[in-house]
Amino acid sequence: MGRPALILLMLLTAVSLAPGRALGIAGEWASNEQSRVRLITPYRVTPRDGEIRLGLHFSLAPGWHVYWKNSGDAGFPPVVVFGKAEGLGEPELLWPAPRRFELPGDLVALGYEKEVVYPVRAALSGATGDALKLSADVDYLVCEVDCIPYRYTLSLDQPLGEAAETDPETAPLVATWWDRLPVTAERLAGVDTRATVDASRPAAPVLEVRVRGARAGSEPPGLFLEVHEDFDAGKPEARPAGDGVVFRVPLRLREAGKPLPAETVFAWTATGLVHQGRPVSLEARREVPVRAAASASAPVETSRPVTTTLMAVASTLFALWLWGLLDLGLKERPPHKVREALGFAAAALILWTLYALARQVTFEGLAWIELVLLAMTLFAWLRHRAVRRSAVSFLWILGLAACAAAAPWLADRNRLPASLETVPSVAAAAEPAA
Amino acid sequence: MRSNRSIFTMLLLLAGLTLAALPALATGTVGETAPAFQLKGADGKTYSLADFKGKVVVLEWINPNCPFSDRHAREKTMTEVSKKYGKAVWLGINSTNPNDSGFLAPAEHLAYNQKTGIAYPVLYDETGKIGKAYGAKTTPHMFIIDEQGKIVYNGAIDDDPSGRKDKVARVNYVDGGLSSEMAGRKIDPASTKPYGCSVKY
Repeated sequence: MGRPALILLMLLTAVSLAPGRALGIAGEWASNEQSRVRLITPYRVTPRDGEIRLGLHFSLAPGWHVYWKNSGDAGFPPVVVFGKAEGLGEPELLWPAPRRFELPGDLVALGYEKEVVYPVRAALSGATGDALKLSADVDYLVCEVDCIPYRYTLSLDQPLGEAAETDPETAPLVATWWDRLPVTAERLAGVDTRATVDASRPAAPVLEVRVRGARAGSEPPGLFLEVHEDFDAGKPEARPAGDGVVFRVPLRLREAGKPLPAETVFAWTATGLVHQGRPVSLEARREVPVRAAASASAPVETSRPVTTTLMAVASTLFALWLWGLLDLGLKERPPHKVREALGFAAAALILWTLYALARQVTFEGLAWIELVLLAMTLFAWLRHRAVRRSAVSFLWILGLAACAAAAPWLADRNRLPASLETVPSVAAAAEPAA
Repeated sequence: MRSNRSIFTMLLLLAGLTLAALPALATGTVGETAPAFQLKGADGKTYSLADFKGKVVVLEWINPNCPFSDRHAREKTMTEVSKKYGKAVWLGINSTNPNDSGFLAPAEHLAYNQKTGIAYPVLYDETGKIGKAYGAKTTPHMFIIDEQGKIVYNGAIDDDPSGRKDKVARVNYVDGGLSSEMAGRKIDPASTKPYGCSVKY
């Protein structure tokens, strides 16, 4: 065997015997059928002191995803424990703007598909030697419809030097995902976010987040809430309003009957926004006021659902009379055409009063009142069909009267406290996205 | 009269539509009455929630093909807690859609139960109706129902989604919950975020 061949063989042996540690800007991939994961840094060489950026780089098979810090209904976010290294402060895993995935059974997953780099921030001070020995224990779950948990120990040797030198391949990748990190709302000039919980229906509160100074971009804006101790969140709705976006998220108390707090902390990331021509995501953590029942309410206010319901009952009776289903004892009736037209006006009045009632009574109350109005119509029709005035026909009239009396009673029982009436929402200006 | 009738039909339709648009009532919330069910077990028997009136009932959403559910079965997390509280009724419910590749036929499920030492009944909710009525999201997803038929716990089995902690270091919410319930104390926490695979509806 010649000398060069011997050297080659020695080299090959050295390479194949080398431990799993990779030297350079990207660690070795830990691979499985659904995903690959590795540590990367944007530097070929980094100074021994200062902030450094790392990335936890996932590459995912089509259809599979990994999670945001709130994983949604199922799953869990990656858990990363970094190994100690000389001069390395505690690294912090950061969460770029996620996406929403809808699964069968109305379940939702929040996370990333295809590829994601979770940015990691760390501080270096007084690191010695030629390389920083980075290592991380990663537990993560990758899901399609099925979910598979994996656990790896990843490592990377980051060369240290006097001057920073970025790597042309990994630096843009890390930068791309670093750019997708949400910006603290307060830090952007001209951006203002406000939030309230609209608890005008105590059983169905709604979190309203208003962003001003950042418009909807080409992708639909999204709102992602962190896990809240007391509330489950439904699907957020976004609509443009003025120079910003309003998000509304239906909430549900996890424990029925638990009193609503006066204030509660919500943390969220708003995505798909454009600020000064640049795409941006915002994050905020706020003490959010809950607009719930005020203690005092004027008597005039509290009688409103009853008045509204009486109007609905009266319009129903009026419409029934106009359409000839009910004889109110009046001899003179307006001409046929006028009656038909008035009948539609009365029907419109019923719809309007029901709409007004929707803001004054609970969902259940409204359903009951509608049922009772429907029953009135049914009784009137039954009586109209009974040609002869018999005992049965009297029964129908009795039923109609009972229903008419039940409606205001139901309104009173199911009223919302007066001060809880729905906060008027901002008029949505239908402006094209910037 | 004919035109009157058609107007009446229109009104009827309108009212019907308004009613249909009302949102579905909240489900699986702590403090509410547990939705009733009657489901067939892998053992062929029929189980009804009403049969266990006056007893504390634990519901466990289970799927042997989910790594989380399977890990807890292998680690005997559920089996041990269910044995510790013999007075409580423990029911597994599998809401996997029969069209899902992870669906197990009753005989396979029974074999799995035997292999992993699951002694409690496992019920089939093939339509997913009961799972949705409870708002079951993950496997495992746990519910505790008190003697009055009210939901008193809704959430995860423990505080260790990755299964990384030592078994003794984990906080088992159902163990704690049953211990409080049996002692007549309020369960705290009464709700947690369940973790695991999504239920394969």
